[in-house]
Amino acid sequence: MRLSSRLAVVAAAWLLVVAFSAIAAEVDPGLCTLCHGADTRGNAAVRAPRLAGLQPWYLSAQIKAYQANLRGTHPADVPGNEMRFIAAALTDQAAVDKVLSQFSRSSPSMPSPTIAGDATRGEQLYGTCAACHGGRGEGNEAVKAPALAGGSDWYQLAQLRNFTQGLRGMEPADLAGQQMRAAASGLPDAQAAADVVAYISTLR
Amino acid sequence: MTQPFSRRAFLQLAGALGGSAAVYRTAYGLGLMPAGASPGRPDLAPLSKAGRKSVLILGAGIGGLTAAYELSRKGYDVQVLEASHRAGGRNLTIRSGDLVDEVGRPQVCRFDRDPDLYFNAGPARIPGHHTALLGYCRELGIELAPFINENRNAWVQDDSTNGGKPLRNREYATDTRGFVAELVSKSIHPAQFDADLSPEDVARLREFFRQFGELDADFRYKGSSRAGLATHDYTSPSELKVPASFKDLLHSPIMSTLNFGDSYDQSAMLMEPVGGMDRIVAGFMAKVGRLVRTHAVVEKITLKDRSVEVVYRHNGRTQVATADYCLNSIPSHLLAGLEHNFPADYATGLAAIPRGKLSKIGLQSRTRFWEREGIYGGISWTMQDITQIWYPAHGIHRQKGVVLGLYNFNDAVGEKLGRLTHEQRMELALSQGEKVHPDYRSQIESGVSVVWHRMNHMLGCSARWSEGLRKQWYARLQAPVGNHYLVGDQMSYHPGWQEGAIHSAFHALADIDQRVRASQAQVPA
Ligand SMILES: Cc1cc2nc3c(=O)[nH]c(=O)nc-3n(C[C@H](O)[C@H](O)[C@H](O)COP(=O)(O)OP(=O)(O)OC[C@H]3O[C@@H](n4cnc5c(N)ncnc54)[C@H](O)[C@@H]3O)c2cc1C
Ligand code: HEC
Ligand code: HEC
Repeated sequence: MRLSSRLAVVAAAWLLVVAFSAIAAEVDPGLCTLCHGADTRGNAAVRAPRLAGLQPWYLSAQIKAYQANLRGTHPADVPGNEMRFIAAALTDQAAVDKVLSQFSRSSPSMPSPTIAGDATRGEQLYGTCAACHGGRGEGNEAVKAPALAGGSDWYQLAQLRNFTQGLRGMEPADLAGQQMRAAASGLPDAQAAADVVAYISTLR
Repeated sequence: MTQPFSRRAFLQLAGALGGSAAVYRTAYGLGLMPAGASPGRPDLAPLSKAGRKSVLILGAGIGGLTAAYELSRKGYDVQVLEASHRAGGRNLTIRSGDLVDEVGRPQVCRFDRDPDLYFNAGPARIPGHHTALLGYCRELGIELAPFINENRNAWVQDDSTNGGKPLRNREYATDTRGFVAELVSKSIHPAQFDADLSPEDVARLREFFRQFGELDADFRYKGSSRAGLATHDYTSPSELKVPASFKDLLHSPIMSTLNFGDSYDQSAMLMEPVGGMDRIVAGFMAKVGRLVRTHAVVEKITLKDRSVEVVYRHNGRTQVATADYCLNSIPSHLLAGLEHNFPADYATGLAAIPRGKLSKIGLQSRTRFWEREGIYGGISWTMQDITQIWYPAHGIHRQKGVVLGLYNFNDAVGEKLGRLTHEQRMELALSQGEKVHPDYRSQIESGVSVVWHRMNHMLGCSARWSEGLRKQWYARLQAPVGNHYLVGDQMSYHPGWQEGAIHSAFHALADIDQRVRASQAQVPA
């Protein structure tokens, strides 16, 4: 190979490295939509939830929780581990917050329900949830409880399972997670979880 | 076990071993050879300038490239949108300086710059009966070499067998066969067969098993030179190896690897392109590269009355493309997350098909130490996570080589690898490889790990169709919705093989051809 073409190859390889370390400086929203779907509508096929419509402070707190190994560390939590690795590669918090606020504002069409549950029974169970998540599932920053209305129902059900089974909210430093873990343990069984999620998906 | 064989089956077998072998082979050959060189390749009606049709192809893997090649040859206006920085999809050969685009954890390959230092991170084998793919290799001038799948000099290793020390493949295989043959020949009695199986027939059967296992005159397995020799210097008498104990062999999980190379797609003869599997991609790209746009990430697909509109992001800018037809090879689980107006059940089907989680690790070695162990190409097996070590059959006797230090196809291990950093995966490959080749660690200079379910625009390997999923979704997803066709090896009965991707394209192209012919028949010339 001639020297000039060899130099060109080295230069090209270097550019690739530079382009990819740029994950740190500018977050390409395409990195997130790869899994979270167009406009972060959520994609159950890769177990990545809807981010659209969630409050930026909550999304930002979750990225920090993944980065601090407070979430997504349990070997049985495969999707959580996947997201934790992505979060670990995001080093510039300001750049992350920029894409997160963009996602927060986007409003792709609402997901159709995927969970079979008794929404009427769920409504009664939701009474205890409302204290933190709000009567219409709008969330409450003061207690760090995110909006639930409009979220991916399959994901919320999986998270309730994660909280009760000790895959999320287990770390002493994860105060918000611990609060929710205590709340989740108040749901008597899996059917109750499905019912309450079925009710949440009627909230707007 | 009273009647292991019927008399008829036995006589057929005996006949095949004896004089009528030639007849048998001919019949076998007739059944095997397909009539056409490449069944299913559609003969598209060429389009005139006035009757041109446009086709958007999503994804530039082997499926998309096949479609682009066939359509553009016949006068269709073709555009291929590919999200990645490169064409080829899962057909990926890695060399010095290449980017391994794992999400969040990109690697750059640090192998020496040398045409022999590469490995195939995706497909590596082409069975001799994958006639469509081989046909393209012929047509595109891609040089092929035999691929070595099985090597009796390679190793098998398991912690519970032989004190964890590796055995030569030939030793394990020969001893196993010997003991099985001894067991069977001891238990054959005329009474087990139909009444008219004669004592001579039974004798012939026992003789067959004697040869099968290389048993002694008393039908006992006492070791065989097939297993390799304990001592041998070519000028004095040699000594047989002492066979392992049958119980040990039986209890060893290595048993499960013995028939791997017998399956239809894994048995000889297999081929591989000289210089790497991606020579096939390069061959297609020489023909259709001008039609392929990389860094073009499809975000939205809209079915219209007589066309399909696609919105994609190209270098940060949103673009729109519209065509009469759309052939879509985007992996179904990623497609499920895009914006679209597909019918609801079709969308449910897309999200329902799970994916395999295969991984490979390529390791550059300072010397070709395996050749000094008598290993030229082929595969060693270990029951550890790394599963296999592959030795390159190219660049023989050169200074360095790239071995495949891990090829995992177990999903649980795949998930574990996904949780590890590249450095941790390297440590895993080295510490496990050391059990097969003690000097391994000091030989390996650098490595690349490709964990397919973490790779950008891929997040998995082939579609895992269960029988239930096939019944529920295959026909629905194979049929076009409007002018949109789902293709790729995911839409074949041969997922995980390039031949399946090619045939899925053939299937869609034949349908489009029919529709185009029908529409043109209505227009007076
Ligand atoms: C480890 C491994 C070993 C294998 N071994 C063999 C073997 O020995 N022999 C063999 O024949 N086959 C083998 N295969 C299978 C073979 O690789 C596949 O069958 C074949 O490459 C599939 O081609 P495809 O075109 O269907 O899909 P792909 O190659 O997956 O192509 C899909 C394309 O879509 C692109 N894409 C994704 N999202 C978007 C988007 N939003 N917009 C635009 N483009 C997008 C992707 O980047 C990709 O290029 C192996 C595969 C793996 C992973
Ligand atoms: C490889 C796939 C993948 C990619 C890429 C990805 N995510 Fe995720 N993300 C997930 C999965 C899976 C989950 C769910 C994890 C769980 O169950 O704990 C998740 C969860 C999240 C959560 C928590 C949501 C909640 O409701 O608590 C946030 C926030 C998030 N991702 C942000 C991002 C951002 C920002 C990006 C882009 C920089 C991104 N993700 C890229 C897969 C991915
Ligand atoms: C004491 C306050 C409190 C109560 C009561 C409570 N939650 Fe929560 N919930 C939280 C907090 C705080 C979080 C965020 C946890 C974190 O940051 O990891 C949360 C998180 C969640 C999540 C995960 C959301 C996501 O995007 O990952 C779900 C689902 C959820 N709650 C459902 C419920 C349901 C259902 C109930 C009622 C049974 C309930 N919560 C009751 C405080 C509460």
